[in-house]
Order: sequence, then structure tokens, then C-alpha cells
Amino acid sequence: MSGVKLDKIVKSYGSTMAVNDVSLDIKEGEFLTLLGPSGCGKTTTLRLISGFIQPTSGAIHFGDKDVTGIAPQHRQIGMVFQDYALFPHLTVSENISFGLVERRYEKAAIKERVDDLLALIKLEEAADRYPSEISGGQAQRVAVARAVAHPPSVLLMDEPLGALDLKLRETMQTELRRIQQELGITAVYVTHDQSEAMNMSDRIVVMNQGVIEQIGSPKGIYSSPQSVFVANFIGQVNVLNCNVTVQKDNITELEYQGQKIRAQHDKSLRQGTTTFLAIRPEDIKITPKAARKSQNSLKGVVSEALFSGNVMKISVELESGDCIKVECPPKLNSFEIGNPVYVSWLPEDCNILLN
Amino acid sequence: MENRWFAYLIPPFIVTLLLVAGSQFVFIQNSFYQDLGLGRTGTDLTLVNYIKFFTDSFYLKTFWITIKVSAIAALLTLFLGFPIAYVVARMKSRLAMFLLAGIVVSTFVTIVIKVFGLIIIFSADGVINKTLLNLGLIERAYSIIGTQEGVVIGLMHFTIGFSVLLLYSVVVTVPPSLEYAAQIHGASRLRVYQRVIIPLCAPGFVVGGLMIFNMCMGAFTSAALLGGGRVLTLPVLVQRTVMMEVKYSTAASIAFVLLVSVILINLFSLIAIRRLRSARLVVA
Repeated sequence: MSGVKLDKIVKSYGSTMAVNDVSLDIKEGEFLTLLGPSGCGKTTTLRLISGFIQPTSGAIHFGDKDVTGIAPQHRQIGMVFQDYALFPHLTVSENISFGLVERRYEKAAIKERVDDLLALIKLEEAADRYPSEISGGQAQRVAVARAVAHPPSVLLMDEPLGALDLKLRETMQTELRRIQQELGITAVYVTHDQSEAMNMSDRIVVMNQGVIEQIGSPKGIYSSPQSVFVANFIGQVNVLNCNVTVQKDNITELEYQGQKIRAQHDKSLRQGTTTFLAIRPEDIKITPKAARKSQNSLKGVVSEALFSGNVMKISVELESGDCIKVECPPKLNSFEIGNPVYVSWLPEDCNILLN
Repeated sequence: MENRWFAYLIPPFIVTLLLVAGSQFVFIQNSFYQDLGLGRTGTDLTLVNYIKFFTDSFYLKTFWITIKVSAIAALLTLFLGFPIAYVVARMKSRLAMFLLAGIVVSTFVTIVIKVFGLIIIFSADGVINKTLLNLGLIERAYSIIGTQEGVVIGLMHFTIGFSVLLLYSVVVTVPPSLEYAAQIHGASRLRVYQRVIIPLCAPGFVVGGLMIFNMCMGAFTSAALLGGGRVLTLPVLVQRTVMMEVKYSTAASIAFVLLVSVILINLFSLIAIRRLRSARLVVA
């Protein structure tokens, strides 16, 4: 087991850059998720770590060992595939022992390890079944057991829950996390599902067009996105196009369509800079009257109100024509389409994004 | 409604039955009468033609040679066809489609033309002999015509396209991710073949092998042209018996032996495979 280090990795196909100058330092025992839309380079990055493809330039280290150029079978990795990739002609226990047999473990050791893993994934009773005879969730657990049977330096997972239904996916998230924690294995997980990334990861790497947009803890990425892309990709967000007017202490004053907006921001910005202001729908309050001065407040009209169980999703059309999405508990809501309202939020609840 | 339309199928069915099964029946029936030569037959039912087949060393030798060259050709064709099928099946580019189309087209080029191509290539002053002579590997031109090797080559040439297409359709059913999974969990390329690809393609090898074997057993043109009258296989023997010796009953009995033996060989092979499969040696 070891950490994984990517050093200025570039992978190009002709003139297309699949992965462009990616550097990553994955700590030992960490659960790291590569998150992004399809074609963002997350799967390519995973395949580079696995060794199925070689970087155009840059180096990959497992611990202190430079593994660049080493074939996948000599890298000591475990991998879980989206379609599970269980061997249909082998039983569950034969699937789990596949890597052990290939690495010439002794028979008794193989049996002991397989029994331990069957217990870990709670599938003792299915040991002699074939993959066609077990369910999707069970198959996924077998795939994980197979991947960790010969303790890998790093466990790679390529959208492993994509084929499961929503309920099962949530259970499996907890399950995968539990197995990873129990074994203390370094894990790299690829997904395009932001809630999955939030639920499972120690850190998330948001990727877009082959480059890393932001690295951080789920909480950090959610509460302080550094770009419009990240803000939009992780959860819902309102983005307002503003200009910087004054900066004093850590409060930045901005101008939005002739109105003053205050935001907490500690980086210095030049006056007149065009920026984007990102506000989460759940941080916005909706009131019939203008809020107190300490808050930012904009006037608008309710244009849409959707009840979706735990929250009420309301769209407010501002005087500028922009729409603001608001989420509030259904109990608080008594607004109907056409009502004139004010939307307000605290200066510390908004983020200034530069691109 | 469906039943009424079904009725329209009955006349063509009867015609087909008469032409195919009827002629077969007459032919096979013929084999149970004594052959008096020149197309004449005896009047009493008898097994004399079959007894002659199974007691005459000439017929038995021909029978054995037919099975031998067919089996060798089928095995070699599988070995030769599998790598091609595998590479084409795993290709990601458009080239795969062109290659497949090329294989299909060349497979349906009439065998006569293909065999003449072979004869030219392998002839005394053909490419292969000249190269080997110039390299000093052989002392004088070697002809494949009239040798069993020649017949095997002809049969392989006849069936290789079919084997590639058959095996292609088997390989594409094995997801590449299984290969990745095997490799990533410690298997070398060789072990990936041993433990994953070959076992998963095994049923395809068996069925494909049998189909190619059957085609070889019944192949006439390539066997006749490359055998050059010196290597006889059963189909060639049947043709000679009918056309040159005008012994219809004898020819019919040979043909019937060929038919029944092919059916039996296929049946026994499949039963043997099923045994293995239930013993979990082969994939279900």
C-alpha cells in the first residue's frame, strides 16, 4: 500500500489533449474522487494510473517507486469496472482468487484469503455461484473483493455504481466506503455523479477538458468553488454577472444592474473587474419585504414554485430579467406565482468567481 | 389470420421436399441394390455395396484420408483464423469493417478461381518455389498438386474466410474489460488467453471447428483440383464413380457412408463436449 503521485501528466491523442498537465498527490489510505462531465479526462487519468495507457509526458509514482512505463500486471493495483467485468466462466470464489492464483499464492493461503473476503463482503453463501446467478449489487461487491484480494498499492474504481438503481447505489456507497476504510487502502474513484463524490470522498478532484479545476474536501469544494464551472457542476448555484466597485478589509462591494451587493472576499481585486457572484439556492431567503441592511437584497417576482418533498424550489425573476433559484423548507413558503418578493443573502454566503 | 398465410408456405415446402428429400431418397434407395455397371442395378435389396466399401482397403483408405485431411485442415484453419478474428474484433478503427467486408467478399469468390490462384502460386515456376529455390532451401521445384499437403492447403484456403467470420462473432462477445480485469489482477498476456479468452471462446471453437470439418468433408472442387487424381477423398471418389465408372449404386453407397459418418462425428463430438461442460471444464 502506498500513496500515488502524478507529476505533470500529459496525454494527447494527435492534437487533442485528453489530460493536460495534471499533478496530483494522493495520500496513503485516502479516498480520492475524480469528478467531472464525460470527456473531462477523468477516466483517462484513471487508465494512466492503471498502466493501460502511457502518458505522453510526465511521471507516475506509487510511494517511492516510479511506475511510469510498467505494465498493468506488474503495478500491484486493484480495479473495479463499471460493468463489473467478472469472469462469467468462474464462480464467485474463483473470481476473487483470480489475482491470487496469478500471483502464485499457496492453495491454503488462497482459501483463507477468499474466505476472509467473502466475510468482508457478506457473501459467504454465494461462494460457488456463477456471476450470472447473483444480483448487480452482489456482483459489484465480488468485483471489489477480487480487486483487493492481493492487497493493491491502490484501488481504482471506474464509475462502479453506474449500472445500479438509485437505492442500491446509496447503499453501495456506504458499503464501498466501509470496505475501503476497513482495509485502509488508497482509493481513486471516478464518477460524474457529484452527490456520490460528496458522500464517499476524503478529497474531490474536479476535472474539466483535461485539466484540474479544483481540488479540495467535499465541503470545501461545495462552499467555496473557485470557478463558474465548479460552482455549476457541484450542486445548484445562481451566478450573477457583477463589477467590482470598492474593496475594504475583507468585504468587496460589487455592482449588479445598478444595485450594490456586498460579498466576503479576501483576495484583492481591481476596481471595475468583471466577476461572477455565486450563491447557493439554500443560502437565499425569500421575503415579502426588503431585508435588513446587513444583507444583500434584490427585488423580483415569483415565476415558478415547485414542491419536491423535502424542499420547495422557487424561481424568482429579478427586474434585470435574470432568474434566481431559491430552496426553502416547504413550511416557510406561502408564495405564489406572480407575488412580488425580495431575495436576500448574507455577504459570507456568496463567492466571487473570476472566470 | 396467421394460419391462413401459413397455408401459402405449403406448396413451396412440398416442391422443396420433393426435390431435395425425394432425390436423396431415390439416390440412397439405389445404394441398396447390386451394381451391375453402366448405370444398371439389380432387383433384390442387398447390402453388398456397403459390405464392399467396408472390406475393400481402397475405399477404407480413401475414407480415412478424407477424415484425416478434413480434420487437419479444420484444426489448422482454426489456429490460423483465430488470431485474425481476434485482431479484427478488437480493432477500434473503421479498418475493421473494411477487413471484414474483404473477408466476406473473398470467401464467396468461386472456389475454382481461388484454387487456380493457389496452383499458380505453388507451381514449379511460381513465387513460392522460386523464392525457396533462390534461397537454396530446396533443390528442385516442389509441387503441391497431387499431395495430401496440397489438398489440406486447398481446404484451408476454402474455409479460412468462414472460420474468421465465425470466430469473429465469438470474440466480439467477450468484453475487453474482462481482459483488462485479468491483466490488472496479475495475468500476463499469455495467461489472459489461457484463463479468460480461450475458455470463453471454447464453445465457438468446437462449433466452428465442426462446421469447418463438415465443409472439408464435403468439399469437392479444391480436393479434386489439388488432389490431381492422385489424392482421392470421398466426394472426389463419388464424382469419379458416377461420371467415369457409371456405377450409380456404388457411388450412392459411398455418398451415404459420407453423410452418415459426418452426422455421427458431429453427434459424438457434441456429446463429448457436453460431458466436459457438465464436468465444468468448458464454459456453459
